[in-house]
Formats: sequence, structure tokens, C-alpha cells
Amino acid sequence: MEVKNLRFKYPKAKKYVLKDVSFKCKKGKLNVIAGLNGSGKTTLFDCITRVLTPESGSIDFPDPKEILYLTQTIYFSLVIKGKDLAKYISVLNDEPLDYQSEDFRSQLTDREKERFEHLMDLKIGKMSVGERRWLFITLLSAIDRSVYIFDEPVSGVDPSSRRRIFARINRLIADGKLCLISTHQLQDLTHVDCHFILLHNGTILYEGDFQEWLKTHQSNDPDEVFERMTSGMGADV
Amino acid sequence: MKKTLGFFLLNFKIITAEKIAFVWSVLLPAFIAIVHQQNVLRSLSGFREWVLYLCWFWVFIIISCFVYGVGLQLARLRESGMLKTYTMLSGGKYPIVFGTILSQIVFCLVSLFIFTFIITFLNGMMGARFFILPVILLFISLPFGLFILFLPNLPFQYGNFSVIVNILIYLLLWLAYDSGNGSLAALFNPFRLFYELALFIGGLLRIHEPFAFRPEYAIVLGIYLLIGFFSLKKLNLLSVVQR
Repeated sequence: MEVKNLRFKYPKAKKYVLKDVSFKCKKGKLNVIAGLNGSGKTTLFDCITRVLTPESGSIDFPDPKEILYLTQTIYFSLVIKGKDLAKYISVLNDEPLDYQSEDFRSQLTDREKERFEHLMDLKIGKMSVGERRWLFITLLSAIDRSVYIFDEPVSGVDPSSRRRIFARINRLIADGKLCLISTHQLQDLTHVDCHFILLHNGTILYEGDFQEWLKTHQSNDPDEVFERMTSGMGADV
Repeated sequence: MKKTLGFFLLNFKIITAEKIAFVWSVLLPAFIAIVHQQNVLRSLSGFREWVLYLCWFWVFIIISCFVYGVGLQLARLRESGMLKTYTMLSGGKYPIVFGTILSQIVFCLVSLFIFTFIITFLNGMMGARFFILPVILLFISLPFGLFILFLPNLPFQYGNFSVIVNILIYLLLWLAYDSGNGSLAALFNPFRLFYELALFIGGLLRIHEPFAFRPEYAIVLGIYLLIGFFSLKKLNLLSVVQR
């Protein structure tokens, strides 16, 4: 699945958000798009899922009906309970999902099962940010789609919840699904086998293995390399 | 269909859990009827007069449910980014839109029932006949439920235009009450249109003398449907004021 020469500008805007974006996603790895705030990550996802229509370029991705796209805003209401959300999400799959089934629960660790049961009876408003995101991603990852796009799935989330969320996403990858996320938390990627795509000034500044990216810039600190590249120093490496 | 029903159940659960919607759909009309208009209530005699009086309240509840529960609700969801989220999860916008409309239809039925029950019970006028007309009126007013989809398409900040909509609701109600049986232009005021349709239904049900069906009713309902159809097709998932 790939994107070629994508170009997009919002109506009445002077500048192009996406000027000439081309990249390929890799199966078996976590595909990660990173970039400065406002660099066009969400716009890129919106183009891939046909929410927005690009001016030119090609998008070789499945039909949006085959893509599960979790945007940054997920909280519909704070007064409903986890089980109400689960009931709704269960009908989004072609086959009805049963979150109490052995099939689903076998994918959870013992600690996760306990957490899941606890969150089912808790109002969304009483959950922490990390708990909400983990619950949402756990529920949604049971829906059978071929591509999963998560826009900043670990934004504002505590470290242990981030690890759990990445574990869920890695399970999708192990099941042969293609996963594409955006994130600002580059430190999380040091323990993940990931295909890293750096979006800057409307083009792709780097595409390749995340560890290779760090090695090439002779650093173990991804935030430092990111800053160097996006500020113009080291962009040619 | 199951995605629409799924969203309907979720949305209805939220409406009943949050309860605030009952304020404008039941409490406010009941307060006006019981407290503000108690002299009028005392002067009513007979089923016919009661129905004619309650028609205005039923029209207000129905229009409020569609305006606040469908139009403004979808506008709020769009502005918060939730409309995009749930459309992407559902694989399309139609389950979200129709699930929202369906939940408001049910909510409106419940509100009509509770309001009518409160007023008639407090005044010793209980009877199943009171509930038939508002139910029929609700289903006839469904084109308005589609028409109101133009609201989330407005390129304005939700906070600004929701205030204008709130003012307009009461202005249109007052204009309709004051206008008498009107021209085609007056019928574009949904309060006037649905009040006259309520009178027509009342005549059909022999609650009062027959009230003629005017072709203008069908024209306005047709225009509502047309605007609603295009509003639905053009419904923009993205907020115009925030990312």
C-alpha cells in the first residue's frame, strides 16, 4: 500500500499542506508517521480515508470500508459506561462481536482481563485518559479490517498505558494487519520494529527503518534527531 | 442497518443518561402550561379545546427535538471532530445521521407522552385519545427532521450559531402564534406549518370540525425533503473552525 505524489491544500489556504508526499507502508512492521504539529499528518490520514480529496497524486489503499481509522477525538459522552461503548462497537464488525467470548478474552493477559472487566462497568468520565484510549483501542482492534490507522493513539497517555496500547497494536501486526499510526512520542518507538516516515514541509524527509534512522544520525535520542532534521540541520543525511 | 440501530441505541442511551434534553422537551413546556398559562388551562372545557390548546406545545416539542437533537447535535459533533470519528468507525455517515434522527424520534415520542400525561393528569383530563394526534404529527413532520440537516453544514462556529438558533426558535413560535392561517410564506415557518397540519389531523380524527388540507403543505414538506436530501449528501465531516 502506498501513496504517490500526493498534493493537497485546504480551500482558501495559500500554502499546500501536502506538496509531494510519497511513501510505502510495510506489512509486518508498525508504520509510523511523525512530524511537527501542523505538518499534515492528520490531513494525510484524511486523504487516505477519502475524508479529503487530494488535488493530485495517487493513493493505493483499500476502500475506506476496509480501513479502521481512529481519529484523535474519541469521547462521545462521559456518562455512558464502557459496556455501552462495547455494545456499539460490537455491531461495527461484519460478524457481531462478543466481548465476553473466550475468543476475545484469550487475546488478553490476566491483568488486562481484570482491567477490561473493571472498565466495562465504569463511566467513561471516571476513566483516566490512558484507560479510555486503551479501552477504545482494545475494543476496536477486535473489528476485522485489513488496515488500521490510529491518529496519535498514545497522546496524553501514561507510560504503562502506552506500552499496553502498543502491545495491542503489535498483536494486530502479528495477525497480518497493516497498521499506520502517527505519534509525537518517538521514545516509544525504540522498542518497536517500525517503518518510520518523517513528514516535514509537505514532503517526506525520511522513510525507512527507525533504528537505521537513529544510527545514520549517530544518536540514540530520537527527539534530538527529529529536532535536527526538522530545523534544517541534518536533513540531508 | 445494524450500524444505524447500534448508533441509535448508543445515542439514545446518552440522551437519557444526560437528561438535559428533557429540560427543553418536557420541563419547559410543562412549566409554561402549568405555571404561566394556568388561567388558560382553567378556562378549557372539553376534549376539543384541550387538543387545540395542546397542539402548540406538541409542535414546539417536535420542532425542538429535531432542531436541538438532530441539527445542533450533529453540528456539535462535527465541530468537536466526533462526526468524523464515528463516521470513520461506521464506514459511512448515514448510520450516524439516521441513528441520530431515529433516537430523536423515540426521544420525542417519550417527551410527548410525558408532557401530555403530566398536563392531562394534573387537570383530570386523562385519555388515550390525547396521544394519537401528536404521534401522527411527529411522523408527518419527518421531512423537517431531514431539512434541519442544513444546520451542521453551516460554515460557522457552533457556539455562535446555536445562540442564533435558540433565539430564532422562540421568534418563529411567536410569529406563528400571531399570524393566523397564513400564506405560503407563513407556512415556511415550521411552527405555523405543523400547527395547521395538527389541525388537519384533528379534523380527520373528528376531534374538531374538519380543517382543509392545502396543497401548500405538500409543497413546503417537499421543499424540506429536497433541502434535507442535499444537506445529507453534502454533509461535511470536518469542523470549519478547529482541527
